[in-house]
Amino acid sequence: MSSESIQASTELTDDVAGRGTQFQISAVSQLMVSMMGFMFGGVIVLGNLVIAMGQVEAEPWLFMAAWLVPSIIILILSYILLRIGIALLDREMWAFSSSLYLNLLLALVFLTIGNAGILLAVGAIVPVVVLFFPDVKPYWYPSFHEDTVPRIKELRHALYLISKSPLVVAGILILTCFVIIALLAPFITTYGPEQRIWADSNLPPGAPSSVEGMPDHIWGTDDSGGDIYSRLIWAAQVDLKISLSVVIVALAIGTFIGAVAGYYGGKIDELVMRITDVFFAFPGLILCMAIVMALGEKSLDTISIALMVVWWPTYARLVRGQVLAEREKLYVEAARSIGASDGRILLFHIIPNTIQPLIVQSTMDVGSVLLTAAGLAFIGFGPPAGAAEWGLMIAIGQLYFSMNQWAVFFPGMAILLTALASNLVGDGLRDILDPKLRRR
Amino acid sequence: MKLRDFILRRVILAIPVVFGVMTMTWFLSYIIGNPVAMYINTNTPASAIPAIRRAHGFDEPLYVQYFLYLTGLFQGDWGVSTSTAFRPVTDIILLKFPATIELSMVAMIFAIAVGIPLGILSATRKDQKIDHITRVFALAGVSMPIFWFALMLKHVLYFQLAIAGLPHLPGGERYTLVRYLNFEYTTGFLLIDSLFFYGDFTLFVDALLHLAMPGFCLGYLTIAIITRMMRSSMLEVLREDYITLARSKGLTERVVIYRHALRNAMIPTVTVIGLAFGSLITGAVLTETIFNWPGLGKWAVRAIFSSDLAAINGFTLLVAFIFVGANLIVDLVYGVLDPRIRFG
Repeated sequence: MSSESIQASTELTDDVAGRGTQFQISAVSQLMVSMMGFMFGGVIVLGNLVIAMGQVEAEPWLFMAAWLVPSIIILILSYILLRIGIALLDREMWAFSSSLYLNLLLALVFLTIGNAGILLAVGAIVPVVVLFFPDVKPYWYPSFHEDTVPRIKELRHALYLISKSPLVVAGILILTCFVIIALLAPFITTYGPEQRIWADSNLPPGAPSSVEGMPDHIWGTDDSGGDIYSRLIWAAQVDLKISLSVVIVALAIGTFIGAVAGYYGGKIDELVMRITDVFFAFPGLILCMAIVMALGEKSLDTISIALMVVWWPTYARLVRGQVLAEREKLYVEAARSIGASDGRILLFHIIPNTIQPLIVQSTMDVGSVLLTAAGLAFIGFGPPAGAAEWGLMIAIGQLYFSMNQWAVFFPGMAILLTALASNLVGDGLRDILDPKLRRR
Repeated sequence: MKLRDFILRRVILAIPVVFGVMTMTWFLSYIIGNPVAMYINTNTPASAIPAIRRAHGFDEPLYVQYFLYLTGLFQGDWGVSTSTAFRPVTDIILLKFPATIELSMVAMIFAIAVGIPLGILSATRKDQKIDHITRVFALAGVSMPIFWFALMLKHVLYFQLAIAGLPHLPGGERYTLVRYLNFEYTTGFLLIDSLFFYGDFTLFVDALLHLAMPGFCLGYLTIAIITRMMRSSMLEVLREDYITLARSKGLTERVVIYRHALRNAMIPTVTVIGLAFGSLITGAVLTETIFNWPGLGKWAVRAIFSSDLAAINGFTLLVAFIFVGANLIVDLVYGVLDPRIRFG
């Protein structure tokens, strides 16, 4: 290693040390998540091996497969998280440059989705297995077939329609690729997210590094010598985190408020709808900016919070409309007449029937949140300078645009592809899920 | 419900929203910074600050301040823009508004002219190759960071062509500044001014050329919204019984689509076009900055960078009012066009 590269690496560690505690807490949170993942995964694998062996009459391996697949996926995910956590503790890599709260939030989201995902996967795979292999009969649930067959038919039809629509398939593939790339960032990048070699500023794609022993810059470098390819991939983590957490939190808040407003009606409804009206009257970008300003600090946390505040009214209004339409229907009446509580009716009867437009809207919003965050970065309300985030990369790159177009082109393409994929999936799902459109 | 009652009800419903908007801007301007800041600059002596506070009522209790803020808004006192030579915000808005509206209008016309035919094409050839291509083209518009697209367009059509010495589109401003040095606006809309007040056709063409790139950028964003709505409402209409009847009468497909289906499918599309105006203005903020367009958006971005509170506040209010207005008009038009809405 030459002296320059040593210098570069000391610069790197110095900067890490500056934010040492934050990194450590972040690393510990990652480690905790991965440990919990291991625990869950292990318990599920072991427990369900036992269940599958002991309780199913025919073909236990089918059930094993249904339980094993999700648990193995969880184990793999936990392993990756573990590696990232270790990397963070060792400060050998610039893993997860984003903020602490977002990490914790995501850890929570991860756990919830992870567990819900297992249940869903099991709930989805077991019936499919049962449908294709009619002699598998869970003895503890005699009316299993009668109960699940219509749902399975629906599911099969939806899957068939999805497979028939090339755009949705393409969108899902692109999104999956981005998620995998983001998760694998520590292994496939050649530089750290904030690592820069000043001597390498504004290099075109494919140029070798001027420092001996450092890897080539596949997609060139930006104005301050950051490797665009690596930063782009690190930024995928940050950006996907922002858009997923914003959409999930906004969805949860919006669904709750909208459902309550729609179900109880009257004054609550009037009030909520007037508030959402006010939110809708502002352009999202400007309102986000004002909220970030009001929160006082430009960081990934405040940007996410601002985006959540701006986004929940969309869902509230959507859910409210759906609930209004559903609440007078006969099945709700039936549930009420057998004494179901309001909460139960909302949660188990009405909301499951309003979920389809929500799926469409939230899929498309993954892209819109990304675009708004990029716009925020452009008008100077992005994360702190130097962070690896697509919008910020464009915002800073455009200052040096006349001599270096690559620093703008690649992040823009990344945003375009992600947003396009989410829009393709959402738009296609709208057609597929719409009961009026489907059986024709 | 009679039409008159319907209109009245909608207008009354818009009033709390307007007040909500004003309350929210007041609230935010209070959290963001001290509103006294908009009346103070670096040359203000410290001894004068209490007097300024008193003069603008900032030493009163909060509810009085809120009331003063509201009356100020109604009397046209929107504060002074510190980043624009301390001119009143309302003056600057009046000055810059036509530029933004002209750009938005051109973008909107472009979007309608492209979006509606694309939507029809896409709906009538559902799930065929042309439908897929159209949808990807349209969706790419809403998936693009608009400032990035503007930069790329400018790079190719302006920088690259100019470097190669080829004829190229202008890269910014509303007209070639060097050629029309002392131009003075009459209405503020350059296309109208040049033709009707100056009778200068070369200036008109010049203005059109300058509008081409920003207009296309901004319009592309809207094409997606229009195409998507047109496609889905067209698909819905094409399934109706009266379309089957029209076909079974032996009418040609052309007549069925353009005479029978299109008219009914247009209603939801018109609504969306009205509502898209809001997103157009947000897009204008970013596009104007890239193309150096002397409109409200560029002014607002500059105000943001120099933390000029009154200007940001004024811009936010204005856009919110435009949006509420557009909403209201769309609602009313919808109610007039489709009587079912009035009774819903």
